[in-house]
Amino acid sequence: MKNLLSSDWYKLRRLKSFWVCLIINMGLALANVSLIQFSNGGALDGMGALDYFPRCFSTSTPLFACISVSIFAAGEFGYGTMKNIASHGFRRDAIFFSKTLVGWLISLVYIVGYFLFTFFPALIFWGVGTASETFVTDALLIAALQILLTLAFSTLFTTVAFLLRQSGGAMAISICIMQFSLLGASLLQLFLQEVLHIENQLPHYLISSCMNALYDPLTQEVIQRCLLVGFGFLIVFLLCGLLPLRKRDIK
Amino acid sequence: METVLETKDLTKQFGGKTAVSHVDMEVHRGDIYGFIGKNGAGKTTLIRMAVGLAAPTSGSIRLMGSDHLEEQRRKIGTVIEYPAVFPHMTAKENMEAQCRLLGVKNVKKETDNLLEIVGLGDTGKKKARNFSLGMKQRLAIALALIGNPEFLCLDEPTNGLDPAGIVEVRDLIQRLNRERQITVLISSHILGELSKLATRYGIIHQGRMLEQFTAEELEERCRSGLEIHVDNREAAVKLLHEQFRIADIRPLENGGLLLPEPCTQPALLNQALIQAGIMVDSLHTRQGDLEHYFMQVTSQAEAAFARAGQ
Repeated sequence: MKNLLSSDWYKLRRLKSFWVCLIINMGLALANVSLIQFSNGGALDGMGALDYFPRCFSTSTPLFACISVSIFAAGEFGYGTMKNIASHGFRRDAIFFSKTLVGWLISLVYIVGYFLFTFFPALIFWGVGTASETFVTDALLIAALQILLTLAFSTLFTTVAFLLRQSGGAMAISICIMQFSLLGASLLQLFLQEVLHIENQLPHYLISSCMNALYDPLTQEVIQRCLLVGFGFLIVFLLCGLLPLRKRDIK
Repeated sequence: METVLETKDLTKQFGGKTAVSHVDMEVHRGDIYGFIGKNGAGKTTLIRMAVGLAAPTSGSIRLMGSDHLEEQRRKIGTVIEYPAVFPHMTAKENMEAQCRLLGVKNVKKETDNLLEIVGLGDTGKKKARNFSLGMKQRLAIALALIGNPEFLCLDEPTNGLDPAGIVEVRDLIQRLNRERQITVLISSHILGELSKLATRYGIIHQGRMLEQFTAEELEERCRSGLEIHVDNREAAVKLLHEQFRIADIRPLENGGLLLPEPCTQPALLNQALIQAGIMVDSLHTRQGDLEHYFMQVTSQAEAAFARAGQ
């Protein structure tokens, strides 16, 4: 596993799309803060950097993670280099976990990159702002939950890449899942309510919905929901990627 | 003799189609094993099962005499179907990624040494995407050599190479076998090339292993000359010896006789045999190379399969 991780880390560092997406992600972060600063003549309602903290985590980060993870994980199949790994007796589980862990690392780097390029410009533009008594715990919780949810997304991207084994296809499917899962969940919610008369809040239990919920003041319900959704999807996606890989041949 | 690869009753089915059927195969240590078969005969599938890329439907595989395949596969280098390299990396970067994977300690030394061996020592910052097919193939072989493998599985390593590239790869394989004592399993369509290289052969056809034989046995089987089939071999040998002074007459496994070339005119020979009351069933010139032998064995197998209604 150590060797797999070392090799994957080396490959990631040489992946141009990883760096390009990181730069664009950071550029977007800077652009967002700059837009608020320069279109409103300063922060909204005397807002400081600490008030802006929840928005230092972007829902666009998973999109860039999707691009990089898809190219990184599925590229091995496209180039045929997965044969160089699997033919040396490495267990399929270890191969998948190594790619998943590096996928998580990609997401973490993007989260940190976006955060730094949002928070520090905000600090420069608007000052520190006022911190509530619970700010530190809330900030840590928000950060932890945003990371958990992004890692769940990242696991999805790795799983799709291993299932489709083609970068472009994996990217397309992952983006569709991100973009249209809310529509699908809303339709299903409607069907369950109107046809089967089952009350439900299905769209709230999506990763993207949970990420958005973290922009508002934290409540116990949101924290629990984020934990459930984050860990739930993460485990489901892990199993979806792992189990078929054990059986499938590698071309 | 120690075997590095041994399969017993190995079978692989895709859906309802059998790609490899009950194959028993043995590659001995030190062999350059030429694995021969038409497209779709099952060569690649068998190699892929041996190296762990595909799971057998049934049957068993032993590597280096052991059933602990995952452990033994660390000692195998592979090039399967096409050179698998990262196009956006240089030769050295490709090598380093693989060195890290295999836990090689002295990456720079191993990389420089192997790239030198395959003749890619001076590619510098050129990305693999800009390599010729021959260069990619040699890089793939260098990747397969990382970690000093005991066994090299090369599936069609000369595919797409020009004649010079083919000679280079051939020389390289012979050198690795001779100098590093690496056992090599090599599949190829270019039988002429394979016959210059292999020390043992296996012929696979429609997923079944038809024959395994040594280079010496092949030489014996492929000896060119005039092959005759008669109803009385002893009488024919006596007549040919006395009347035509042909000394080196070899009895064949298929019941025929092989006369060295050039011995005499076939028509005169035929006439003499008939006049002596020996019935001549057939008389033809036998071509002596792997290609003809392969065609003969596979066409006989096809006829046998057809007779068996398969």
